[in-house]
Amino acid sequence: MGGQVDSRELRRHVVRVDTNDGEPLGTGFFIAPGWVLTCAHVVAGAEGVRIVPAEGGCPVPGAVAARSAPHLSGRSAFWPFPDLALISTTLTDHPCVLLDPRSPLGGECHAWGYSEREDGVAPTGSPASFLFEGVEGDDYLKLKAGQAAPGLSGAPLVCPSRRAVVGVMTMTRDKRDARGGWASPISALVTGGPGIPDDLAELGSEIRRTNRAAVLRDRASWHRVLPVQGSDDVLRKPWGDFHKTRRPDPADLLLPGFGVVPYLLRDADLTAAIAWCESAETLALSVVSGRGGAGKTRFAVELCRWMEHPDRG
Amino acid sequence: VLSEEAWVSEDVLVRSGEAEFWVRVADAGGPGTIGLGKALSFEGVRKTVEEIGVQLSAAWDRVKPHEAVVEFGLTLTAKSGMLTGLVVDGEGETSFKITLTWSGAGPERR
Repeated sequence: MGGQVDSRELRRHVVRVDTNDGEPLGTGFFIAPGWVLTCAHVVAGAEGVRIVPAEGGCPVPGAVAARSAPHLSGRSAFWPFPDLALISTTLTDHPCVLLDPRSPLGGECHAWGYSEREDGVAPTGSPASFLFEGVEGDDYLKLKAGQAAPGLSGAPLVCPSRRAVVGVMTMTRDKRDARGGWASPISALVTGGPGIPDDLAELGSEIRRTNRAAVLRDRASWHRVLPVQGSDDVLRKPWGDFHKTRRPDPADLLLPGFGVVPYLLRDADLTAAIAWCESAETLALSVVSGRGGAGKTRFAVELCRWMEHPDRG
Repeated sequence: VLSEEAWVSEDVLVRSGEAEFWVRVADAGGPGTIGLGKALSFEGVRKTVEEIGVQLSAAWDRVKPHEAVVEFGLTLTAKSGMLTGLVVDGEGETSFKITLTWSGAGPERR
């Protein structure tokens, strides 16, 4: 298992978290309609922030709804586990990442966030990749072999084997070197545990339910983040435009794949089938029955065509 | 207490009330949060100095010197995303130099 992550597709889920004055603080990402997840140290003591979607669009105000404990004075640079904050926004028209509370399965993990590329130059957003080493005594995910530069805090950590976001980037092992860093596990948000404030745990478990439904409703969008190599060629698409051959058989016109006759009078059935395809159910069965020649294959072809290119109708 | 050679320094913007200034902070290069370099508050440094003052004055209350002089080196760090002071070795010497003086008249009479 494992695989690549498409940066362009991943960044559609990412936002920059700014102060109300427009100064960048770090990164965040959409986990449910209107909800952004980031680090507690990114928002620090702020009640209100500004959310700037990576895909453009107007910055919108965000309100910090829950956060884990602030930094304790002392020598440790770590903020108390899990160093997470939830921000509510008025934005709802956005894709959401799929969350997975399990640990990465090993191998390469990918992040995308507003890490500084050059000192003193505003970050434009960068990908980063790391190897997962294991889980620390305090449950942080330890990563190696990648650069966690300032600005990456709050970025989603995608495990291609899990096909989901498993963590939130929080710390670096060295700002100037590709030594790796630490991420807070998604499990801290969705299952709670010692040291996790009640309001954060409550909101977290509620958001997890919404997260799954939101991603399943638009599953094609999340699948584009983690493309499966060769998936376009796996399925034979037995339909195409009818080309008249030298000695055509009149019965060719009736072959469902050619679609010579415009498809009419089945709009209601097709709409219902499209809704079935897009439903948030993890597993669902639908039976299409009919006598031989009633048009089951043509129906399936039309449904596949629509699902492949919904914009063409 | 760190030895100064191990540090890599870094400049950070500090905001205190209306004033903004740059401070060179010690950064040993190791683990740190990775938020963006926003203007930091000077509060952490003030708290460090205050705490040292409070602790030492408690000692002076007990031993009642006529005069007390304290020298200490403070280097700043911003590793946790907040500016705080680190009590440091100054050029390989001790972190604190404390001089307490009693005049011959005894501690209770001035």
